[in-house]
Amino acid sequence: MQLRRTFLSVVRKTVSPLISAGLLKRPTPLNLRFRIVQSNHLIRQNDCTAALDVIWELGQNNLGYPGVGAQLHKIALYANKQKNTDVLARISQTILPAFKSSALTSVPFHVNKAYVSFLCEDWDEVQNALHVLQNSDANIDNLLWDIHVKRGQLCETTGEFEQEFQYLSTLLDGPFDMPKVRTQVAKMGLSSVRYAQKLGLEVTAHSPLLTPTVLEQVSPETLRSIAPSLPKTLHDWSAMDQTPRATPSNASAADRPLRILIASNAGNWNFLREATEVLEEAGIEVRFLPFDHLKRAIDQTNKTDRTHPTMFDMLYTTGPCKPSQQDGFALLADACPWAHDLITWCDVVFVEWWNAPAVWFSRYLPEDTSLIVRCHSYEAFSVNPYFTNMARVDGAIFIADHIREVFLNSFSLPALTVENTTVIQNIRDLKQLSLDPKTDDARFTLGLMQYSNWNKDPIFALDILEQLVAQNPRWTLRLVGTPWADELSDFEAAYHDAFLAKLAPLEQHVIFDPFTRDVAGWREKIGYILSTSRREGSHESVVEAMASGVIPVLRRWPLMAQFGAPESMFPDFPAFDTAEDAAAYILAKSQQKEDAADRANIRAQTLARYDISTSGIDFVTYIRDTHSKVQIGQRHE
Amino acid sequence: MSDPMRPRIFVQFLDKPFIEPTRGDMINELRFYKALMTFADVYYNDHLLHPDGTFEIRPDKLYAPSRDYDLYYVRANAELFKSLPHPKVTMALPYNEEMFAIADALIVTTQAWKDLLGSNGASDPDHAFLQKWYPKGFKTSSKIVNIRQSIDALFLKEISPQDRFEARAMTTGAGVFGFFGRVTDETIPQTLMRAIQTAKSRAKDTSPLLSAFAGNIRIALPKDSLNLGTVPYEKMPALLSGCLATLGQECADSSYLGSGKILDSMAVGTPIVSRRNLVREEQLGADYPGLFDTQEEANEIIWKLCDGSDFSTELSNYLLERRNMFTPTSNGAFIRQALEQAHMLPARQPS
Repeated sequence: MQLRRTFLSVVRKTVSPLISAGLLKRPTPLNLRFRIVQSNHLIRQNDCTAALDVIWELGQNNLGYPGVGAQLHKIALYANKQKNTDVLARISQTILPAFKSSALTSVPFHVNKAYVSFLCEDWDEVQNALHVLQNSDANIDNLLWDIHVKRGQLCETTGEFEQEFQYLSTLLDGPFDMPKVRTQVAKMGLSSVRYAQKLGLEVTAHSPLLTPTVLEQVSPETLRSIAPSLPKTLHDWSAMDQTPRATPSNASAADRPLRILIASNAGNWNFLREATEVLEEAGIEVRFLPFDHLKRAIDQTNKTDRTHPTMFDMLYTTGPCKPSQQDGFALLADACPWAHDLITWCDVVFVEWWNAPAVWFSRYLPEDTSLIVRCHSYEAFSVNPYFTNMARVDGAIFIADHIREVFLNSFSLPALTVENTTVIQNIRDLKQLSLDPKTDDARFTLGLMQYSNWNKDPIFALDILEQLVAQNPRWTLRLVGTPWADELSDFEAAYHDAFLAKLAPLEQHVIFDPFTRDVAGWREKIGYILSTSRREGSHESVVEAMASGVIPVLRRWPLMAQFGAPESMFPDFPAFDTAEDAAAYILAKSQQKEDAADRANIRAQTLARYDISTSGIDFVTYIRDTHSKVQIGQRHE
Repeated sequence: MSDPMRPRIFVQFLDKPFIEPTRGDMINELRFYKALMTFADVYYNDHLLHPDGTFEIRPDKLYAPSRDYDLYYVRANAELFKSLPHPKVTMALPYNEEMFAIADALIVTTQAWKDLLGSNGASDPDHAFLQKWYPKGFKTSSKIVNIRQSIDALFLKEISPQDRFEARAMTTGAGVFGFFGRVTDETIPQTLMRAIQTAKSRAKDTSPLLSAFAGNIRIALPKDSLNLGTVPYEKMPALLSGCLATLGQECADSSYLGSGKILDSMAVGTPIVSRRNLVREEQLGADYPGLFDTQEEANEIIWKLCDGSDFSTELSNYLLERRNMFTPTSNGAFIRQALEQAHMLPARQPS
């Protein structure tokens, strides 16, 4: 490799002055090689315009020169990366017309023409060129691949993926570069799901369902429409990936405790401390797997041998390209032996968050180990569940019923049914929170935490405040948390402007408290905690405030109302569609004499429903039961 | 309003307008300043430093001293150092001929280093440390002041249950031998890596063992070790506390320079295993049972840390007792006395 690099460097240094001096104009194969070397050098120097000049100076004298089209394609790709629009403009305005008007008929000419035509997205000319080439004995694999990649990118705006999947399908039986196809299947799969999740709207986002405009279209019906709208080939391949275990999992050794391995991504262990405590108190052995180590190790293996899949390939490629469970797990043994040892050590893998680790374990976990996944909230709107082998998920825990509803509507594969799922609140030790003492003004003070975005909808809070102030000017709203960022998307900026406009006449009744770790101290100043969000999972800050005896005022979360929230999460408290109704409720509450008793009652209700003493038992029981069912082959199919 | 009786000390590191604990060298500088702050008002770049190492307003450029100071300390900025009045001192590393010539004293962090420089290298002329950092035939006539190293108060605070849990999770719950800081072929303790391998073979399935690395990792790590990448400074106490033990460097520098990481471990009571040398004996004590001279001794120490005996508790208790020598307050008193004895600060009047 080093020798080749040195040779090319010598060639370039020798011929570069000759080309610049206007020599070497004869269209000979050697001259073209020289110019390709020189243009590659110019591409690396970020000068694609000059790279184009070097090639076209020769190419224009013979449009049938082999390799000219491929090199123009390469230059155009790099120009695009470098945001150089000049190159493509020149190809469209000068080079394509030259090919169109040429009377040449050779195979290399048609290869060049096909490249130039598809760079300019002139698909009729591409078809014409391919028609000629298919009747020749030319090897056009690379040309077809390049055209496919380009069309694949265009599909991200048109959604017409199926044709490209079919092309990929044709490559599977041939001697084509399989790692390249495998990665392309993964990319196209991911793009297809993202496209379908846009629900017909034009948005650019990693998780389209979580963008406000798309989120507003979310309903059980629209979610159920996503899977059927996917390309048929992807649909079929994904169905191939839904493979249940062939045999029940191994019986755990009777002479030792149950062993659980908790896996989580990107160091997010936020909700696991208390969960781990209840498991260990129940006599279960717990160890942990930070999943990012696996990603690094697998990707490192790919760097040394490209036939090994990357983590991206392992997660998102489908059907015939997906490594088998055995191959995938064997790869881990080589790439990250300690992680392999941890997985073989345990009886149950518990995956926190339904993201990459959930996909990976569902695809590659050995059959003798049970798999339980916990979904919090945002993951139900992400692409990852689509790539999960649901048939291999032995149990699924959702932290709120409406999140489970969203999930099962989105990923309503036969493999994961409501029977294989459960709803268990986050495991929280609420008893450690005490009944907060109250300041004098707290009776007339509303509070909203982490308020600064469209989803939390503080304008709704101002609407409530407006109603209350009209009755009594003592009413105040305290907003605590990080203020709006300096740089906002257009959408968030417009919302922020609307918030400021609404705030102006109420400003003297609103207090902005900065982010604080002393939340208990902040809660002493409020009598009512607001949940004005459009969408929530469990709204932890409201639950914690309730455990401290703060009265909750719940908006019927508009984006989740169709899924039964927030009533399913807070069945003991009313929810309101309008600010007027919420204000009326607050006014009625404020006129009650039994304030202290009311607050004590709220705390008691909260502890009974949401505390670790209840959810912890449910959590341990569900894990043990699920593993037991798997051992005797009773998982619902 | 600061106490007019407190000395005022000007400090500066390289040409950095401000300093924060993002790299090992800056972490060590800040610890020195914090120890100085226990008895003096410390001005970094002419701006008063708060006890936690932050500024009222963070300077955005370099400022010349706007007042008279009792002492000037500059590290690795010759131009500034030349322009300052006396008394002025500089760190004895890196070597700078001009700075060394005009310094009233050179600052070192260990007695072993002080003795080496005090003898102008005669005590160990062939040592790789001397050859790496100082010119051949190097001589200095400056006074040499040992300031010792200090524990950062952050490592003496109680660790939150959540931080403790996250440290356990990120190290998988296995028994972990941690090596943190700059990880290169030169610094990695090969003797101890072999000892851990031996212990793993002995432990088999009963007690999972791993070596874990974090910090500036410049080499491909063994596949059976954890690469924790960069861990935020404020999370280090919990991570250290969760380790079975931490491993001391074996490179040439570690024979003369002190190690802040050794003190970090000491602060949280996590056993340290290290090859014996003058500096380790100085920081840990010659009788510390975690020091070894041979591979066999290293194997034995590592194994005793894994076998569930009281050895780990014994080491931990020893370190927790010894850490009192290196707290910012006790080390501040030590530094003040050393500077006074070297006449870099006026001696206090008996009260």
